[in-house]
Amino acid sequence: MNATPRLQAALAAEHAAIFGYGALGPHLTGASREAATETEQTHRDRRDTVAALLIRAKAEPVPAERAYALPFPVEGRAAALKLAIQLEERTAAAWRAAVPELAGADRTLAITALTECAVRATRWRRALAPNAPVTVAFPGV
Amino acid sequence: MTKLLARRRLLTGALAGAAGVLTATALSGCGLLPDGDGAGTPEADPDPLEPLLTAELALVASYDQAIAALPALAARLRPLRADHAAHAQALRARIDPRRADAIPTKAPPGAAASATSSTLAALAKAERVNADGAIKLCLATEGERAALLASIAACESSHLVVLA
Repeated sequence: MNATPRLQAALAAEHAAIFGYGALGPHLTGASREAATETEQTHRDRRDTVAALLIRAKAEPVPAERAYALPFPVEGRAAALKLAIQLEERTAAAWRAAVPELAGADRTLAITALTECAVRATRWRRALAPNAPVTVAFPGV
Repeated sequence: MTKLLARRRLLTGALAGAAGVLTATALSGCGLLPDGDGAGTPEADPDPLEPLLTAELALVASYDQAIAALPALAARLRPLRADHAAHAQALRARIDPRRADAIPTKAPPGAAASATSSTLAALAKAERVNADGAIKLCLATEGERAALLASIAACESSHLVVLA
């Protein structure tokens, strides 16, 4: 079992997602804005859960960076949605990679986290381009 | 136990092959090992992925049926069908070909859920059942297979967004 580095990577992805949603949220309105706020809180909750797992394993949880470089300038709705999709895809990848290294309830947590990322990515893709395919066959790959 | 037997059969087969070469080159007429029954392929053990492969193929068939019955939904359903076809392909690639080749590439007729006004609900139910099955299997398996199964389950949950 090599769970700790995978959990640290998942935690780092959650930190980045929290920052990212903080940056993109103000560019959305209405239901999307609400969803972004809700999602940011979900990532905060997940961050706390992973940090607790790491402490239980006697590891020091990686801290958040003070700031993150955004992959592209986030101005306007489309860019905000694109960033949201990317954040979910990256977090999904971190959780998918953790799955084989975890067992029992911890693995279930990773599957749940991966699933929720995939569901949110699908919602954001649909918000961005409802007529394009909005799912991927292997989330996290 | 069955695994051990299969391995032994495999080993016997390999040795029989080696003995064949020996016989031809040096020991003609004097078999070092019994030739065995001569039937080429040893059997492989059933793979725990097989039921999921069958279920993915049944889902592909269900989507085909739904798309045929409700052309208005085709654009929405086709990408979901493609995801399941990709799942089936990935699962098949991980199953010993001696077993996988026995599973047809298409689900038998009748495997698909019937297309009615509740088609979307029926598909959603099938997606949920499949996702649960993939999760169960994921929790009982190791390595890259576990990651693949987690991805399949996540994908099927994301399909519910489209079917809702």
